[in-house]
Amino acid sequence: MRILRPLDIYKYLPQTNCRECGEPNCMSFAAKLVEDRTLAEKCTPLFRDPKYKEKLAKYLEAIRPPVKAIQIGVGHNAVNVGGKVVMFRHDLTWHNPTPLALDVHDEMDDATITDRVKFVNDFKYTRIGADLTLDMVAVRCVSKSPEEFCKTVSRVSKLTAKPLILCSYSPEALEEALMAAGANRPLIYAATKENWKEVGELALKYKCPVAVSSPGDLSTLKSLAKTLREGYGIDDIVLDPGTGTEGDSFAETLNNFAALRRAAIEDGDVTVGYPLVGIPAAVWLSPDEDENATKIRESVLSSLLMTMYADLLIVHSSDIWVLLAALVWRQSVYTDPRTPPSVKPGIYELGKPDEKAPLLVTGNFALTYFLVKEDAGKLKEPSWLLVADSEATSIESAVAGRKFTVDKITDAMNESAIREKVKHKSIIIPGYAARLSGELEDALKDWRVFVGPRDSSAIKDFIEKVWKKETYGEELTKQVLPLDRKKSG
Amino acid sequence: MALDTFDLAPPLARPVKEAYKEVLEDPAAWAKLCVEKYEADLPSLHLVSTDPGIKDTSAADAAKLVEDVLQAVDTPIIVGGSGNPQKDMEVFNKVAESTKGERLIFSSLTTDMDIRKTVRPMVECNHDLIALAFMDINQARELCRKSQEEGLPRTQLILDNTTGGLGYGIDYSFSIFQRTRLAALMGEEVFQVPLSSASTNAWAAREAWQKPEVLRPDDSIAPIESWGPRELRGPIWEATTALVLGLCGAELFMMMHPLAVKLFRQFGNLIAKSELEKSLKELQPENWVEMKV
Repeated sequence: MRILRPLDIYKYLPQTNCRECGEPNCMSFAAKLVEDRTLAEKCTPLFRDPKYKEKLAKYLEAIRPPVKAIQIGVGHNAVNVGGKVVMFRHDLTWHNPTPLALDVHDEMDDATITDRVKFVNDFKYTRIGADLTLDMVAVRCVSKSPEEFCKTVSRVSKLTAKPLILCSYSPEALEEALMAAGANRPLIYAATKENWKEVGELALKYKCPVAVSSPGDLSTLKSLAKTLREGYGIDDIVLDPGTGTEGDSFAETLNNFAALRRAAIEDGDVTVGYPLVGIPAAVWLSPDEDENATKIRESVLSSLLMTMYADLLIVHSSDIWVLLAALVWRQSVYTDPRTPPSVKPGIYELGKPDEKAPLLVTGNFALTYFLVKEDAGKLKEPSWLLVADSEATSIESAVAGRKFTVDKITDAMNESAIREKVKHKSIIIPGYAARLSGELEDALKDWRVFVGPRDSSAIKDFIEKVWKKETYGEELTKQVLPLDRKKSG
Repeated sequence: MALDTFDLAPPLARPVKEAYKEVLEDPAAWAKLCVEKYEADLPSLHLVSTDPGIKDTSAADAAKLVEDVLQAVDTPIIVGGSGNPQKDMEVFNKVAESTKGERLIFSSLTTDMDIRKTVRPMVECNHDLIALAFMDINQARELCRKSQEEGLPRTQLILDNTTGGLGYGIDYSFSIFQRTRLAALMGEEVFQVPLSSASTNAWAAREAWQKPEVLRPDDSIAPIESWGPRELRGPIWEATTALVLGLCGAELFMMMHPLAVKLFRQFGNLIAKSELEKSLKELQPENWVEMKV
């Protein structure tokens, strides 16, 4: 495995310390670049000044990841696939989250196609402050008619700005489609051992990336990629080693993906140094009697292929319950392990809380924070949200791992001076932290500790039915001053 | 593959509760159901009621219950504690002695327990022990090293790095499982033990069990039907958690939902198969392009 060192890059930089990249000098730019904390293009003189032409070529060669990043599509909807540097995300991070393409084909009726493409366009599920989306549309030629295929491709490209994958083994059909949509850099799928000549020429003519497909035959796959690369000078290639979904062909599939990735990264084999496409949609070649069973297989398969290095996936099911697990797994495995998703500990105001507003406490794992914030935001009144440093882990594991403790809670209270901001002297801790309640009451002396729900979606009910009653009696709505109730029972 | 049972049922997601509703009050019947109907390799009995803050069930009573459960099934069992370090040690010691010769698995040893006092009875009574580290490779190393130093053979030690469910810290688990397994393969002896995953933790994710009306964003254009059926979401969540961690080395899984178990078996068996009956090439997966679905 090859991880770059700063000196590997520094020698190709202008070495003028011009600071255009925002760093104090060229060496520090090189150091940031190998840690993936700045962008290669930020060394603007290198790209701009003709006198660096030779250096630039070597620089680009040096920073080329073992798995090339391929751009599909144009504009802000374009996706980058591949660009992988390491086998294991803990060695650096995995770049370019696997795009998901939903398929349509040229024998579907217009309404179905429109619905499916709109679904891709509009799909959005917000989680931990980020939007989970679908990224592409794969158009399949089922009719065997180049004209029909072209019509469908044109229709789809009018419906979406997201990148397309044009799927057919017929060079004629592909060319018709490329005439309609080739300017937007679709991925051509696929060159095979039968059609590689014609399809290779199409890729050159329309300047589009091309997938090479050879299911279950890695040596043919490799020689096809080599021919396109060395014979045609094509360098925007995606590899399809085949996705077997039935019986033991699935094990072979995962082994093939791993073997290709290992060859690219550990052996530095440039002929297979390209992104891999996985096709969970292939489960529909052998559907189960129960449609849901096939959908479940597609969901699980998507996550497993992503785990085993698939850089791009083509799926068929358009149900949220099928897609969501895979999308959440994508979000998880592509987070940067060097910077766990967390928020700053401290006090957060939800709305404009006053001294009577409830005080909730939670941990600083980003997911926990966003969920609690969203749920507490649905309360009838503003509230205080105290975030204690749980070392970016969820409450359940932070309590078990002694990372969310009474000390952490009191630290956060002291630092935020929240005691002076609320009068009711009560605090609501998460249900998963129930075992801290006794110790926390001892530490806070005359404060009352409420154990809230385990899942914050129940917080509204809890505040209305328990906290308000216990803290203010039932008089709050009549604007009577808060009662100073002592802990009862 | 172990299925979780409890001496005192905690709050469970509805689809899970549904599968066990007839046995929630009876741990022996619960264990029997897991093994006989849902084909668990063994049940995992969590003695949560022994926690002094819950019911403070005595070690002797816990040992009696373990005996009842052992009578009900013809498999070994995993004996889980309550998470209270002092009490767990007491319970484990008592149960280890009363089940000498049964070779059970005890879950689990944590850094805040007295390692010597917890490990010794395991050695003397020939039981297996799960060391539980909280997503921290140094903690895992220390636990594995110390319990081996106390005389526990590696053939009786299992490492649990903590499972964050899908979307709830699974990325941490994924990398820690990979790192400990890679270290073992590279020759670090303390880590040359099987890995265990509590995949049941997947149910912490609200996407696994909440109603679509609650999960669906206000501006969602997708029809409500495409969110359901929620009975299937949780099992996918649980099986995905287990399988992903299986791909980076986990070998013992604690699970809950019967459908998750089925899925896990279906894919797990495919992945682990060493001899191919039918090759990928023969299946012609390239035909996906022209399929009429």
